[in-house]
Amino acid sequence: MTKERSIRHKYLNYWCSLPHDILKLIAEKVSFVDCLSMSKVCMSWNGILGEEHPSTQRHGLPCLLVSGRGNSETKTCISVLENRVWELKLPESCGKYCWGSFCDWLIMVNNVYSHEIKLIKVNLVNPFSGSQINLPPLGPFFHKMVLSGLPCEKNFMCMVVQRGIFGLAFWFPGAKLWLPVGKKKGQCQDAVFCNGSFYLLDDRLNVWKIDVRDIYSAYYGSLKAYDGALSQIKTGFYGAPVQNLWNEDTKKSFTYLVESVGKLLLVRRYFNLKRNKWIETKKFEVYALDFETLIWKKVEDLGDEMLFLGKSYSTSFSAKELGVGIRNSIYLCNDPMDRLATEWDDKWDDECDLRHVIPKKTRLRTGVKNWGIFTFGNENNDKPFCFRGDKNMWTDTWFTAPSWWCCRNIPPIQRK
Amino acid sequence: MKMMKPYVWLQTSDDSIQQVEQEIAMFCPLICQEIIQKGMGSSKNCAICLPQQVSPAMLSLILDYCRFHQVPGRSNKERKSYDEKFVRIDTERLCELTSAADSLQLKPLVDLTSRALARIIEGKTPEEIRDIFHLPDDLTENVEVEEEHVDDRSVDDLLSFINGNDGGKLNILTILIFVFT
Repeated sequence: MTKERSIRHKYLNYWCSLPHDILKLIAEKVSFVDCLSMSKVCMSWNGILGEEHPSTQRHGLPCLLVSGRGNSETKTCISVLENRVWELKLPESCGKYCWGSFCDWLIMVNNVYSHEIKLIKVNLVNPFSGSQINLPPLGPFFHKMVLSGLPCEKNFMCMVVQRGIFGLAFWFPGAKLWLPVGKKKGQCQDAVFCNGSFYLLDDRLNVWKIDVRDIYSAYYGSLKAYDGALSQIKTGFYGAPVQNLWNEDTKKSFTYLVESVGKLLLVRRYFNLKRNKWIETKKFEVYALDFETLIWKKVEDLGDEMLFLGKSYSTSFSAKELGVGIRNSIYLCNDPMDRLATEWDDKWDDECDLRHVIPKKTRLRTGVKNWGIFTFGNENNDKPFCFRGDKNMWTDTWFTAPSWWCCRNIPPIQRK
Repeated sequence: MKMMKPYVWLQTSDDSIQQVEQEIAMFCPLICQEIIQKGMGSSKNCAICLPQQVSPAMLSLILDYCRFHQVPGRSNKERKSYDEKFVRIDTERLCELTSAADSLQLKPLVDLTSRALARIIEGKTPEEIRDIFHLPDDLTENVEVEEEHVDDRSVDDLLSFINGNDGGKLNILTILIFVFT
């Protein structure tokens, strides 16, 4: 028997030839870090666990996409939980700005002109699978886009939020154009999707709810008669207890809406302005909406959760399910002072050379680290914060490197 | 209503044929389908041919499991403690059992055994898992797992190094760069 044959013979005797589906089932029952270790066991397991599949929200590794220079084909990604920096080849990003994300999907935008009218072209790009979805062009007056789910799912919906006034627009597969919805007083500070509804936070910290079913019925039901008024869509009003949340510190705070395992969280980040130039975060407060009483209840402990907080996208992960990271923590990236600014305002020249589109206010962040960790229960310590990374030009974006891709491309994560 | 036959004939992977209480065997969806849809198993001559993953030893284990859970009125605590003891077998048999239960589409048992396998894997390095499951080390030679680059410095050391003291440009020289292909 030749050496090769004897080895093959030995392999045939390896008693563990688990069916592929079983191996995947086991991988679902262990933490992400364990799953990564499983993928490094042998070729066969690597092939099975590295098989490409549409990701689910909590399956993968949270990473920070550093916006960097828009004219580069590669983007720097910081895998904050394993202290690793890698380059993501993203030719689609060339000449574009990353507006936000949803799991492993990125929202890329650039300017286009139609009959001399400036419009924003939106592409949803999955850098891992290579999938792309083009959305109809938008007017240049929106500051945030929220996705209800993965763009590869049939029933997903996008919402864009206008700056200055409380104006919205919706798009979903099958719709030819954006469905505009407006307008009432106030501004929308942040928005998120949670349990079948979009939630919007106005500048008085009131929360508004819009059920996706009402948007579908407004679109299909009264398409001709529809005049784009907010009143035509049923909007749930969730009055926040203003006396608690609206205070002197409000001006020196950012407020975010975050979805975390079916809970709707309101996160307030208080800061000092340092020499009027950059912000220094002082503390965090987290409230959870009680859907029955419609009252925000203060959360003192996030338990196993880690929140990833940012202007363009916030999300949460379980430290236990990941097997790495600091539980009961907020991972933040530094937002520009003017949170309602759109980065491409007035600065986007015809060549789309994004080096010129750095908004003034954002540029003031010189010297500020671009991400950090805040751990609850650590407030009295000298260092409740740990800022890391480098100053940067734009808002960085949290996104998720999907599990299958990590299994193929990154080595096991060392346990501490 | 058709009268329930008390026994069913099953043929395992070694071609041996045995008689099993139908009530118990019907717990396995695959056997259930064979009986109801194809009318198999009523005699030794038309015994139900079980998938090759099911050896007589595995069949006996699976039937033990079905027999216990088929009895009504057991408390959740009793069932849980039975299940815990049931999967306290060596890893090799646990794998065989999982494959056999999977081939019979017996989902609750697949779930139980795969959870037990997950617990074995938890917290282990790829090398340790390879040893436990007797799997070939055929990956490291083909795929670059650049272990020599693993940085065991503390987070703060690493970061102050990355940042430099002046908060200057990101220096990624020492850190792995993965190029997406």
